[in-house]
Amino acid sequence: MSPVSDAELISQLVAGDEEAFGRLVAEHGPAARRLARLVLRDPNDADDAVQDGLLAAWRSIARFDPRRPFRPWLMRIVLNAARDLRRRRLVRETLPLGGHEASRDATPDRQAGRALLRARLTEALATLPERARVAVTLFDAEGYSHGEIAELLDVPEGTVRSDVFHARRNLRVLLAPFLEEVG
Amino acid sequence: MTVHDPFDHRPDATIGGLLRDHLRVDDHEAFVVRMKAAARRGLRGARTASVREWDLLAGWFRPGMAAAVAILLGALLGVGRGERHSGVQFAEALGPTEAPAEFLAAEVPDPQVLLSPLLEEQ
Repeated sequence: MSPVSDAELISQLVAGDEEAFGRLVAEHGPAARRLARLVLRDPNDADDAVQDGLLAAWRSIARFDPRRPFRPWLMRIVLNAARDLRRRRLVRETLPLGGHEASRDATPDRQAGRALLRARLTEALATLPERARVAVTLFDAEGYSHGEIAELLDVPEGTVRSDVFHARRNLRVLLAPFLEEVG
Repeated sequence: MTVHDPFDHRPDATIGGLLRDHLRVDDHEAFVVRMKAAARRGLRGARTASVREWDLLAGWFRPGMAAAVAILLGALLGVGRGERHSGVQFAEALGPTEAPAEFLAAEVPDPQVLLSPLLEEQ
């Protein structure tokens, strides 16, 4: 599947091209799933929310203003879908994030270390308010600009900068022993 | 360990790497398949919904059209009668369409001018 520009993808989606929806999911799905996991902290719930969000985006693609950036618009719909699902499942206990299998070639010590890091990172992320969690991940891990995150979260750019700063500082304190190893 | 200033406006590679690894999604191809299936189900649902909408509209069409024709005929007859019998009175009842010049004047008018119709009657 060859990569297509957002403008091309949008025009295909507006035309009702089903294959274009597949390209949308392939292109933006991984980031959408990570974002939803930050909000819901459960991979299955997150995928349900992404499904709701991306289908909603497809249905309302004709209302997208092409003068505005596409990625924040799309992710905002996913974020709203995740928040909506969280409201509906508020009481439910969540599974830890990042429950992927450890690689087979890792030694038991390494596996234990990774498991510990995952657990610590899960705890550390849980101490952050949702907005800060989303802001720091989008900025440091996903490569979004402060402006794009501000657009997505509907807050001023200065608020995003402040959120990223505080979130980084907290994460660095809580993960200090692991960061020394990672470097 | 690399010292990182939390004020740095550039992405923090260490934190970013940990977060990326932590939130990694492994089974994305399966997810794309799931989403395409959901989209197809959604489209089928939308088509069924639009068929139902047309059924509803068709059901409404005949009685709706009959009612609309009856209302239109009634309105035409009423207006025709009104024009024959009370066209002049209706226009008079509406009165002048513009505000009196005194109301629109920038300066306060002479009270004598305003009261002149009353004084003339007396």
